[in-house]
Amino acid sequence: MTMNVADARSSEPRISTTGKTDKPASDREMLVLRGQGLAKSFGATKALRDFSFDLRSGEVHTIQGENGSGKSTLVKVLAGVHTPDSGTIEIDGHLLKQMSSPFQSLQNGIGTVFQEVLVVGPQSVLQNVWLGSDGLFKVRYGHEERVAKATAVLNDLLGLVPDLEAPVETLSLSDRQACSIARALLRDPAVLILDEATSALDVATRDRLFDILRTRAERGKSVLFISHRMDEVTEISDRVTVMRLGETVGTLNRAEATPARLVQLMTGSDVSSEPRKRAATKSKTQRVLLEARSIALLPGRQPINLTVQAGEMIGLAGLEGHGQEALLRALGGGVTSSGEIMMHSQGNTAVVRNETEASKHGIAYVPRERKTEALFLPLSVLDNFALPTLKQDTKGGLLWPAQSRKRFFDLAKRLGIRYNDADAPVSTLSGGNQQKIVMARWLAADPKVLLLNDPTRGVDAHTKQDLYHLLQELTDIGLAVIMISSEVDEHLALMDRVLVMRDQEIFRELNRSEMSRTSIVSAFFGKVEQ
Amino acid sequence: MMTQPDSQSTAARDMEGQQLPQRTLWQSVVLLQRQFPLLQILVLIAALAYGTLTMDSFLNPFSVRTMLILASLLGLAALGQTLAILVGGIDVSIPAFIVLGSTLITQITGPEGVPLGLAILVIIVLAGFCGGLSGWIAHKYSIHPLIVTLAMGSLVSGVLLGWTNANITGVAPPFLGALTRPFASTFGLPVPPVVIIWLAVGVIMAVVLKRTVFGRQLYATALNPRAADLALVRTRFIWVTVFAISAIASAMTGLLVVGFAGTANATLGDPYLFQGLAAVILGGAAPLTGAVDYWRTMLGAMIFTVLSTLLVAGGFTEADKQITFGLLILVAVGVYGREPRVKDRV
Repeated sequence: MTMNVADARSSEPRISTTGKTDKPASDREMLVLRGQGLAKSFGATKALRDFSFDLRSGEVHTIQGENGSGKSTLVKVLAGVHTPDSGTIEIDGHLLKQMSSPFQSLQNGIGTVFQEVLVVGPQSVLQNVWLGSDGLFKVRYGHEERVAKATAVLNDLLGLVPDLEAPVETLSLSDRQACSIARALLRDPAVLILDEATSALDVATRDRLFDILRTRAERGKSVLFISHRMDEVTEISDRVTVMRLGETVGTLNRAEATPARLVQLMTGSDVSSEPRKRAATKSKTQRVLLEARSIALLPGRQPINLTVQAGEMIGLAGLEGHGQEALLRALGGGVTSSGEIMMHSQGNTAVVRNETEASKHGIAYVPRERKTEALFLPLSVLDNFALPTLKQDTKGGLLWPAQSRKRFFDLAKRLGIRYNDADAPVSTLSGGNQQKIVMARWLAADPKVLLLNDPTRGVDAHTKQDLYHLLQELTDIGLAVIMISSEVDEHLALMDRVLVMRDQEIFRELNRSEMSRTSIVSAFFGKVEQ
Repeated sequence: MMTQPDSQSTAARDMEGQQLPQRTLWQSVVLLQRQFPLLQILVLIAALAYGTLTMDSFLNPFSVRTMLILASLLGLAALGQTLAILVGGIDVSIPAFIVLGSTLITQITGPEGVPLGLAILVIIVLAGFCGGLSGWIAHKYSIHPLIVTLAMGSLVSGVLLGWTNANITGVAPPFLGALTRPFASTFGLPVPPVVIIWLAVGVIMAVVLKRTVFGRQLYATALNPRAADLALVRTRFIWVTVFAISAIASAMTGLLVVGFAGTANATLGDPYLFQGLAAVILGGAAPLTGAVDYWRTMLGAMIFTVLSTLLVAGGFTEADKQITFGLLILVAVGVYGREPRVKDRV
């Protein structure tokens, strides 16, 4: 007889779910939401096994866990998207009999914002903010009331209210997400669930959102907060509940919830989510690989000149939508207003005019959104990996899958990709491993310059560490890496230089000695501080 | 106490959502059905068995050969539709290109006196250009192919009608008739050449879709066009090629159809729009998951032909026939149309 998995885990030390500093008597009345023994399976996959937590009135309660730990399933259960297989949900002390639709969830005072930016692109900002508020035939709010409320909420969130009649697709990603958050805030739900909803926000909007959450808390409104970013978690949370493999591991009060402790609980081991300090570029050969000459991202903007050396790692930072992505795409042969990109290799210089030429000269662009920009979810792991480099597996006009398999096997080992079957759909892998597949796809093209668009966004601590390790390895052998990151800590730990973008121009270039949290964040807002 | 289980690796497997499967029999059957058209094969066998048991003449050589010819023509006409559905579109100009093929081959080799080889070349170039243009317009301007191919089909039919003045005088070249004559044989094999052509096309399609760069790029373009663009797939080229192949395949089917029918007319291609779509759908095409293959369409074409034959031979009316296929298409869409994608996403 062997011990089953659940037994093995229950033998680990557990932390009381109620915490140590509870005041039991009064707390019972203050609970707004309570879940017990929640479980949900999809086919053979147990996404949620046994999850329990409670949410007090006026608290910000964070749920933390690695990718695949069941956070999203939990949120979808609470939001009425999924019906739990077993377990109970209590709202204000009343046992909920049924919550089988998002509408019912909303009726029960639970408002949810998801990680995916859910807006209807061609419709106006106002329509998007009020999306779903009307019945099929009935208009519930007048136009003036709509404008007034939307203006108030967007003003709090964005500082500056965008044109309410503009199509929402004309806004930046961060502002679009602000619209979906505004949609939930308008209804003033007793419980606001933010499922990684902050990952698309720029720093300033996120800070304003946190202010709003604090004000709400004073009025006794609660927040269930989900985020991978440790700084956000420690900044805003009153309590943190950690989950692993669909189960509650424990709940910590703010004071106990140090990053190290949280990571230990999430992973069951001592992996830090902090980026390790990367060794600075070793080779001082000054061999220039890539050169941007007078690139203007928009007509009339200050042209950008940039030289990238072999083995160098350059960070692109800034508030969301200030040109980091446009610059990265431009370096990969994308559209610019003016200027040119040159690639140097072995004494030859080539002008890069488009993405195909960029690829031919060894420039690889790894996009930001895994699911919408990189992966073909129903296709196999192998197909997803090999697509842009299929020519390497072609002989006599035909593909030889054994050749792809061999190439994949080598890279999978190097990147530590965990998979059971290379022929299974890539959707069966966890988010972190999917991200590694995307990296492997482009490493297979044997690039000299790697352009990474926020590769660690929304991946778990283990995967982050693996990626940091990989980047060190790659720059050691002379690859140049240019990477957008929304985490200041990553810039501090990894980059040889950081370019802070503002309004489609490079506002400031910081080298290692000038880099600090303050100098980087100040530059986001157009200030020069050391 | 037995040995401590390797909880780390078990945990790792769990996180990937790939535990050892504990499926019920029903779940296994559904899963299998999604990967392999088991149900279709059972239906085909049952239909053949029913025909054999209830009708004396059902399995005689003439009837079998006729069914094979009809299935081949339908299967070839549905080739373009399979590709159009695969990339997430539809091609309603197929009847027009069947008429284009059949009209041109009878008119320009007959009354106009153009040599056969040249005539076929002209047809391929014309159809390829018009079809490719449809794909280019649909991709470039993001217009649904339903609209573009509707317009193109109307345009092609209109020009043909104007040119022939609805008076097609030529007859099919005799060798085309030989390809589809029930008692013709192919290199000594006792089957009409059109069946061998169909099988060869099936093999070529399987190789192209599974074992060429173009095939893999085709699926990638179908499933996530934006990611395909970023993975340096020339998606517009893929669309142009798909609709060009669809038009060419339809025009070539037109040659075989006119050979079978003897003379061309403006409505010769009409039945193949519905029947071709039915063959693709009955074969179990599921574009959302990329489970679209030509061999599935071939299976669908055979099911359609055998069931039609049974219904006609059984004395059912055209009304009964249409009701039956309407219901069957609904069943197929119920099984494949909406994929439980949530299960893939955890």
